[in-house]
Amino acid sequence: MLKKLKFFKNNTLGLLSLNARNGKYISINNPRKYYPTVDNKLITKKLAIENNIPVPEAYHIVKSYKDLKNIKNIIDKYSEFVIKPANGSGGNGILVITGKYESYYQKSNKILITEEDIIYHISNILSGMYSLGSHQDHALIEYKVNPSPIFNDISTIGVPDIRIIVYKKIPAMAMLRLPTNLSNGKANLHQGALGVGINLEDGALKGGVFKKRLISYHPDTLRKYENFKIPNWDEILSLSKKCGNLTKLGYIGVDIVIDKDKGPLVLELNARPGLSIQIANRCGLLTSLNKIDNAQIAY
Amino acid sequence: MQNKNHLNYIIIALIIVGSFIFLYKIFFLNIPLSKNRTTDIWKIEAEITATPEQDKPIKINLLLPESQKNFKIIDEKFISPSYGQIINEDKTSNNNRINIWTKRRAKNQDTLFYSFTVIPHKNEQYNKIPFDYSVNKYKFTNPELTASNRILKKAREESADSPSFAANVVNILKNHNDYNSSFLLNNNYSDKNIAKITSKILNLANIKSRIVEGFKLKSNPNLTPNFVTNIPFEALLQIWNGSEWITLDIKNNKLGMPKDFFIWNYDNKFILKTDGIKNVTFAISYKRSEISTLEAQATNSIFTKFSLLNLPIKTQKQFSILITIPLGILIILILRSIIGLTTIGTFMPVLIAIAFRETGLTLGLISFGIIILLGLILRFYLENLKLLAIPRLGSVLAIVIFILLLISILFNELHIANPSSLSIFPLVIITMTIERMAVLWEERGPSASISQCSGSLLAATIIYLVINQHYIRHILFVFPELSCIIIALILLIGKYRGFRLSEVILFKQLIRT
Repeated sequence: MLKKLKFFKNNTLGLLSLNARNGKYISINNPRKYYPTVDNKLITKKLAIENNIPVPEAYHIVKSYKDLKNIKNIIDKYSEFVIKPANGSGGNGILVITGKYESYYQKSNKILITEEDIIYHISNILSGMYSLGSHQDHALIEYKVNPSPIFNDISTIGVPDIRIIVYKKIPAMAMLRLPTNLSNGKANLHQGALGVGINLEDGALKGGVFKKRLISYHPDTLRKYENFKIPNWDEILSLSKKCGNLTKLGYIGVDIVIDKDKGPLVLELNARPGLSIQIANRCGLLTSLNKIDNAQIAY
Repeated sequence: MQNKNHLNYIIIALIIVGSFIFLYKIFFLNIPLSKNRTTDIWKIEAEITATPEQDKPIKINLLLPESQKNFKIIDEKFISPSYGQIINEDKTSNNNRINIWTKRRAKNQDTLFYSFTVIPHKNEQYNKIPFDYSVNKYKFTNPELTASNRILKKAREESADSPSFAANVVNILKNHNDYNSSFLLNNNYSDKNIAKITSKILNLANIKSRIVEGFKLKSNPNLTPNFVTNIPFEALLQIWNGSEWITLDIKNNKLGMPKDFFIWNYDNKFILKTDGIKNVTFAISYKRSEISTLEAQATNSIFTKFSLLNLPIKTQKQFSILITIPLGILIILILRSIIGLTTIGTFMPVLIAIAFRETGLTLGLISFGIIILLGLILRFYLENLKLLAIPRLGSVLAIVIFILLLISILFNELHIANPSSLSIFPLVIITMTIERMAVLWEERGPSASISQCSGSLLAATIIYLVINQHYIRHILFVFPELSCIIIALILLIGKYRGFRLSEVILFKQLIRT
């Protein structure tokens, strides 16, 4: 008991608490007026393209219920696509279509749905059901990422993504998020995805968290990932640095996916990145955040 | 850094202001901390029956008592049908007003009433009104002067100051064997006569004194009945020590005002004087009762002007609810920022807790559960109809009202609760809760949805249990300045950057590494 008390009092691992993240980092480094640049995926995409940062291509933007009438003409052009709310949060409201069979569309979980179901989903998005603060929203139809086979040894389902915390334009911590059967192929930790810490220097995997508990193997394949290294890690790291320059926000989470054909793509930015990344990495964020602060003062 | 200090100053200032007003109200305005503390009040009634002389104009003068050191007079009433009535506030009459009843002529016996209520109220100022010389001139005959001087000389030997000197004089006068005493008193050893002679003797020694008359108001709660009639007047002697009046009880020769002694008459004046009256009786009675100390205080002092107690009862009730909201918010902040409970909506549990106040906890939880459950089922059904979001929300809201209606009827039939109590349930909040739960259910599964909902209900229950304590409600209502301290605590939590309890549990597993 005493040992535990001491652990949290001295904060041996340099763990960042939610209160400290909100009070010390987000409220100071992320001025609220710049939130739309990351909360609204349309703005993020536009900024990224202007700065030569690769992103999934936007096929179409549904802005009003009126647009729903000719939606069939648009989605008919593509066999695979993703529909997401422009202002969605926490991965809510994302519909992934992986194929088309006669009049049916196949969702990422292999369930077939109709065009009406898709229209209904888009109208829900437009009404603000998934948006922050329930405001009216736009729906974004975009390129569906085909995951690069590099993670096939570990993971078999969904699109793995890499979350990098970028503080004052410098990467502070990184985590690989691998979808599981539990998360229905989604890469969000609170939905049951596996989070694996990444060594910032060389992209080597370490640690791991699944359902808020420590783990060292993939829960579906039961494969250990200890000796795995993410290839072309430097490229991903520099991509995240570029994203740090994209907005005026000082503390962001950058989500990067690796496409089979297009290479690393920036999926979205996040102004309130979660703290489970610390458990995945088995160490606290404070240490690296302080290091970055000190380096800048020295500089 | 400047910002940080700035916040500290605000927190300290709020705490100081809040606690200063709070303590001031307790110690200087005597506002009770507990609702159940009661104060005695006495309703005093003077009854005068007058039989008039044939065909003569009638005039009845009644000396009226005044608010004094220990008591305040409120609510004076004169019941005197067919009499003219004026109050003569004669400044020379030193501390008393005179009520004058007049009538041209009367044939039959009349009964007149004067009643008032007395509440305990400290005001030292009344005891510091200085002496009025015009009413204290005595004449002595030569033998009286000789006798008085002897007593004076004897008393002076053993006295330190005017009050103890007066006590010595009374002591000598009470001695039946003392020749001088029995001569001066003319063998009348009544308290009033002793007081009168003592006052004369003190005057000789240039000590100012006066006789006051009144009676003791019994405060013993075991006294039954609480109704006391035909109270005799008792006399006390008051000695002016240069700055205030010191009371001497002739009966036991003790200094200091006897407990609960109500003074009616100063300076040995007449209490009742009549013209054109053949026969008059005068009787005083009082009835003791209790009111809450708070009510007694509400009739007093500046507290009244700035108190919620002065608002109309209905408004008071609303404010008594509103004033508990900051405390509810403080609790929700502790639960969220320090313990780490997740709830649906930040302040939703506070509103639910307020709704529970009307329904009671068990009934509130049951009705809330039923409404949420039925609402969710409905929401999932509407999902299949592929409606637009706003019409869907609207129909959920309308049907929530309908469910409320059904529950109310059911509860009424089963005689469980007052059906009106449910109507205050925050409808829109419930509808949004249903919507949020449904989205959570789809996105993160039933367990996340149910756990957040029960988190909200847990928070609401805790808040309800705290803000529904009679004592806490009373304190917050009577001392709204405590909200300053609550705001300070809320700001203090805003400064908290440490771990939440839920994080401690989550991060605990990293200790090994």
